[in-house]
Amino acid sequence: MTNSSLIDLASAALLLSGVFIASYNDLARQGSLLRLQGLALAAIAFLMAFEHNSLELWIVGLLVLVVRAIVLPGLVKSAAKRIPTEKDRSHSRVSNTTSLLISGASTIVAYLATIPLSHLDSSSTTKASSIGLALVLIGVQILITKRMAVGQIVGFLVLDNGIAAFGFLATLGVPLLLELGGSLDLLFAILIMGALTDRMIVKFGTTDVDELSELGDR
Amino acid sequence: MSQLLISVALLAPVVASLLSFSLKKAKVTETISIITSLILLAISILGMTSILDPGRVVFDGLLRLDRLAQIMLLVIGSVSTLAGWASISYLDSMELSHKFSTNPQAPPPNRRTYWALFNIFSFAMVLAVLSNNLGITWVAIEATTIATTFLVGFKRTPLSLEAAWKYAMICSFGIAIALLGVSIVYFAATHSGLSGSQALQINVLTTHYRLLDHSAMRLAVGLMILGFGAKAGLVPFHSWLPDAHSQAPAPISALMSGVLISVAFSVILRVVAISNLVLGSSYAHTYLAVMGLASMAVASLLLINQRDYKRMLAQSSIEQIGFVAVAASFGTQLAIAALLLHVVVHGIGKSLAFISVGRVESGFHTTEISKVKGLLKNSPSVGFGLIVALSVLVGLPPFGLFWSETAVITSASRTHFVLIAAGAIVFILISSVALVRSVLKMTLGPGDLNSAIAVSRGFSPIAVAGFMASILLGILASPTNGLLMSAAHSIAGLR
Amino acid sequence: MSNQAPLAVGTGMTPRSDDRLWYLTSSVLTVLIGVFGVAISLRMIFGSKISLSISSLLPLVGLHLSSDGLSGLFDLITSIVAITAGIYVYPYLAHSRSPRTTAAFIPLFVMTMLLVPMASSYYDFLFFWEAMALVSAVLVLANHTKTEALKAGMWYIFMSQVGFAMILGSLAYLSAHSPTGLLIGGSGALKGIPTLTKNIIFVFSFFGFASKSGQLPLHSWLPKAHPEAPTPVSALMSAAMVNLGIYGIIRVDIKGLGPAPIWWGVLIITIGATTAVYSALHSLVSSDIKRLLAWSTGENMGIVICALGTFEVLKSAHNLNIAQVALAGAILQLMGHSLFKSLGFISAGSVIASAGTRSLDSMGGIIHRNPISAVGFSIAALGATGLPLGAGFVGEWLLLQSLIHTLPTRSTVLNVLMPSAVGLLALTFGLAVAAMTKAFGVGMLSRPRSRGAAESAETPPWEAFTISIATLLCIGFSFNPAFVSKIVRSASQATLGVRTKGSVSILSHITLRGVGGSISPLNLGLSVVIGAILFASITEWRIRKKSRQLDVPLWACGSSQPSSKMQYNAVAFAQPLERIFNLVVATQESLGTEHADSDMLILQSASYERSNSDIFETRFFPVVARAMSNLSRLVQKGHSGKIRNYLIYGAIGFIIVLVVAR
Repeated sequence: MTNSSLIDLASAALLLSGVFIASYNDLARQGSLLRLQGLALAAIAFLMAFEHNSLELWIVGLLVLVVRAIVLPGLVKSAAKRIPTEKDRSHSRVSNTTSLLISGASTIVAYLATIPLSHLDSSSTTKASSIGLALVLIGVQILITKRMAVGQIVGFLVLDNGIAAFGFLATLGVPLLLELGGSLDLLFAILIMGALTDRMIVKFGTTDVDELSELGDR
Repeated sequence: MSQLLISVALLAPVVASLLSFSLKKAKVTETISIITSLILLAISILGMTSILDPGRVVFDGLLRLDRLAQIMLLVIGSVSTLAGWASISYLDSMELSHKFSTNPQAPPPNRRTYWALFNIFSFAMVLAVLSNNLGITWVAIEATTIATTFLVGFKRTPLSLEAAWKYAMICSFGIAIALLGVSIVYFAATHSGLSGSQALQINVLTTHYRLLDHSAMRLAVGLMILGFGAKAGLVPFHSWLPDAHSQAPAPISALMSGVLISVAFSVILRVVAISNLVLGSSYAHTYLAVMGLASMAVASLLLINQRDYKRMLAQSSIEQIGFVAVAASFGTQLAIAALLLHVVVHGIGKSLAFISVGRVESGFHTTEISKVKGLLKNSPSVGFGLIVALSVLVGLPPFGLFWSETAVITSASRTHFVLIAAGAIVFILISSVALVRSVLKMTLGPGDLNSAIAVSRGFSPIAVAGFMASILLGILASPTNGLLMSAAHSIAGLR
Repeated sequence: MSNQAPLAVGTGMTPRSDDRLWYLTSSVLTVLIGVFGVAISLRMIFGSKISLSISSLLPLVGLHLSSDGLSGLFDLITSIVAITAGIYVYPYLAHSRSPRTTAAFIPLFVMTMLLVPMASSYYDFLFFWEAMALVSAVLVLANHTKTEALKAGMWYIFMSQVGFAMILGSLAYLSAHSPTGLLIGGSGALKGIPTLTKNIIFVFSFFGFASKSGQLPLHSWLPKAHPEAPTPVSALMSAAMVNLGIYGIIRVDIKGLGPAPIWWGVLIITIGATTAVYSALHSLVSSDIKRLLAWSTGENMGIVICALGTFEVLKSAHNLNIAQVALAGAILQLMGHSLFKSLGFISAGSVIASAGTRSLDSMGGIIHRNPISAVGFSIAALGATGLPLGAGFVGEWLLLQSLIHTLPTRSTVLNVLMPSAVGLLALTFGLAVAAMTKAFGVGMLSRPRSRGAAESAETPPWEAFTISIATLLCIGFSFNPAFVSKIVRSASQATLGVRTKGSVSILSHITLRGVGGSISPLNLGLSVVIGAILFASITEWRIRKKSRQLDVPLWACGSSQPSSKMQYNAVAFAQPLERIFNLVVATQESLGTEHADSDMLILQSASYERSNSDIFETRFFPVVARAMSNLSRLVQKGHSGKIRNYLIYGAIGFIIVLVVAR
């Protein structure tokens, strides 16, 4: 297989895992899929580093591997264990079918939105950058449709993976400095959200974000 | 020289943060934090008065202290001084009420975390302002979210937890969109032949704007305005503001409302400057006008039936930043200069307002407008502070917002701008009437005597300092005029 | 605390001995500013133009002051009112133990009022205008612990904000289109304004300014705020601040916007005349003496605006000669009103202080106990009636002359409008006569209606001095308006912008050139006075000659002693007209009875309450408020606290950007 078709394969894995995360409700499984997504992302980075023989990209790939494939999914999985199971509630506001439909629509929107970009650079990877945007939109979808706090965190992670994927596919990754800072911010953000989730369990006994509607204008 | 100033401005909060985390003595920490804020203030003033070239970039093109950065630093310095000052008594009263609280399990307020995060927050804002690299700016803006999420949830009540969650989610979402925008800028820049290290530098982008691809930049600019708009509190990501501000400790609300949203907006100004060069002025200006007017509309309508005074102030911030966006959309030199004045004075006025209502809240144990009465009679200094803050915020003379509002509206000379300005006037009117009504309900009237607030040390000087600062900014034209005008001029892309 | 004065703002604390120093300083400062104002405004009128620019003050725009005859006129009026009101400040504040805020803000108020007509750029004008509104609002709210004052202050702030928004919008547009950005002395005419925009600007700025003069429909603040303010402030507001609304109309709408379509003038006349009648009616039914005077202010400003409208219409119809008559009428009415209204408020204030009440129905007999105040009030009331000898006579006469002498035109609108305006004005004058007769007759004459009135003290010398000065000014003006002829000429020339042969000459005779009308207030006055003296002496002589006087008990409807309750009172006086115009004055009455026995046969006590409401306030504004509130509810529904909704808003924005950016 050529390098570029491997990249295409990894991108497909990214998108598919995103779609599955959106339609699954089981946190542990979402964690695994998230890990798969991180691996795919790291794979893209490594493939590109190999192709362009760039040390910076190798480091970025390593960073992605550690943060997005190991640490963050690990956090989600450990959170999944701590959270009291609430079987009676559906974890999502929409059914699986609807979720798949929305994901499909998101992909089309993303494809349409990135057409102008492919005018600028017609290489196959740039064309694949629409997958990054699609993943971002799927992330937004997860963010909105999941009821549980951790579900929203997962959505946020998918969204961020999408942005990273967009960066790799379109422009050989963002500069190291930005990636470093971005990963650090992401890590902190997830840690804080995790800590807040823990507090939610203590204070409310649930992590259903629909319960969080005391503040507001009525 | 500017290298020195910039490094001090960045290092001071970091050092202060480390010290406040490691030192045990509360007094020392407080002093260090306030001195840090004063250092920031001093640096901005030094930068303004010195003759060095404000456009120079230092540290490999990563940072620079230009006019806009100086003015934003002035806001950061002055408001964090006020807020730090007010934090002392705020924490004191929080500790006091904790001592007598019925819930012994609740942990006491953690001063070390508070001050450490306070200083990290300042650092992130300073970095966002000084950065010449869109990527670093983005990292810094995201860092403000991280620093403040815990501060929003500092009270550890269920409500503050809810607010912190909403704040973290909505802002992270918005800021992620901005990151997408930054990535696209990088894409466009690298494809136009700029090297990877220069591709995100604002001054490089503005000089090589001809190379940038239009369609990519259209997408990038839209996403960045939308995304950074989330931190600025612009529609559609405005909804975190009232929740976060109503739950955060009052001095933190002051910082967030008075500075953070303006800092985020200053980033938008940078983006707009690039956009104007690449895409012509109407593209970004359309976004600004639409988002600005929508923010003003939503906020002023929400203000009408508002029952909670902290939410009220937060919504007023949405309205103000919406007005700032409208001003930016006019894009004339006068409008930009007025906008900067607006940001400075609003920072002071809003922080004074939050600090005053912080005292009210600790005295009345409620945030409902209808339960607070007769402040001016029974607690004159708090009432005075609140009324002054109100006069500043609704743009009454002789305070600075009067000038900025008048000048911005006057800048609308083209037909479609006139319509926007007319809309802005209507929303300003609605919101100012709503604000005046609520605040006067709280401050005037006989009230009942046993509701007097024990005013803690240090409040009156804050009120007087805020009053003096906002009145001087409204009366003196020199040296403010020259600075504002040259800052407005330096923001490139002026028509 | 004494050196922390700002922090003691309006706390209503009990006065200390050093408060007197505050009051005295305030009084002296106000008078000094007034004197300075007279000097400087006379220079503006007779001497050279004053101009001052300081670019290091006021951010973004700089401070620019300038003047012409028009500024001079308004500053002169303000200064004169400031002098009389300023003298009255000390006794009033000391008597009412006002908060220091009041003392501190009165001189400031006068200063801002003087600066408004001097502001030469649009920005500065807006600045001083809003500063004046702010300072006066603080003065109204100084007694905020009183519910009435608080309410009045709130109304005032709301209305003045609405008015200011209108003015801001129009002036900002004009400023952007003016080549110099100058309001006074900017040579270049406004360019490139489409007709529709110009019309919109006219309407908005006119209503904005008219609101300051208490004109419909944004008038409701005036009859609330003026009575609730401290009396010297009431005088300043009613006699000086309302004028500045007129100044705005002249400066911006009549002079600034240039050649006008005829309907502008028609609109101005309509608003002025309607307000005049409406306010006169309310003035008539008011029992509160300060409220009555406040409504009368609205009425007089209505007359002035009517005169301005007439001027505008005639100017548009190129009938410059008679137009100038109307303009002179407006100016003289303005001056006269300021003189008699400040006198009215000061003497009413003195009466209120001595009788301890503001209600006419609790006064009475003041002329015996407190003659100086009562005489002062009578002169003021005479002025307000617009009858000969009063300060309001000349202006109204000129206005009527101009309306009557309007040349026949082909325009149906004008042919209908001018006579109707005459009719409405006649009605106004009639109602004003009734209102003032009531105020003087019920309040000052007759027997005391309450213990306060019966025991009221004599006017203290300082107040008597103030009242005498104001009275002399009033009499001087009404007997010989020739004093002010040059002022009128310079102001009207500034308004017209061109040097014309004046069509009104005000000497001992007021002569209208080209129309052939003339009047001599001095001769008229002298003859009336001589006639009155003759009549009185003849009557007295005849009574003396008959010299047969019978002492018989007064018939008192079967009651043994006539009590003060049998007198004709203020409510009764106004009742017939009130019934006729009930649609407008919307009287609410309630009768409460209490019975001594369970069968309700024996009446123990009865109470009667009556109030009039402003139909705009009860019908129009609540509708607006409700609409806004409903709209607000709608937005609130979208912000109910569900984070999902908030995220959806963001997502929608995201998708819109993706679509738009393509």
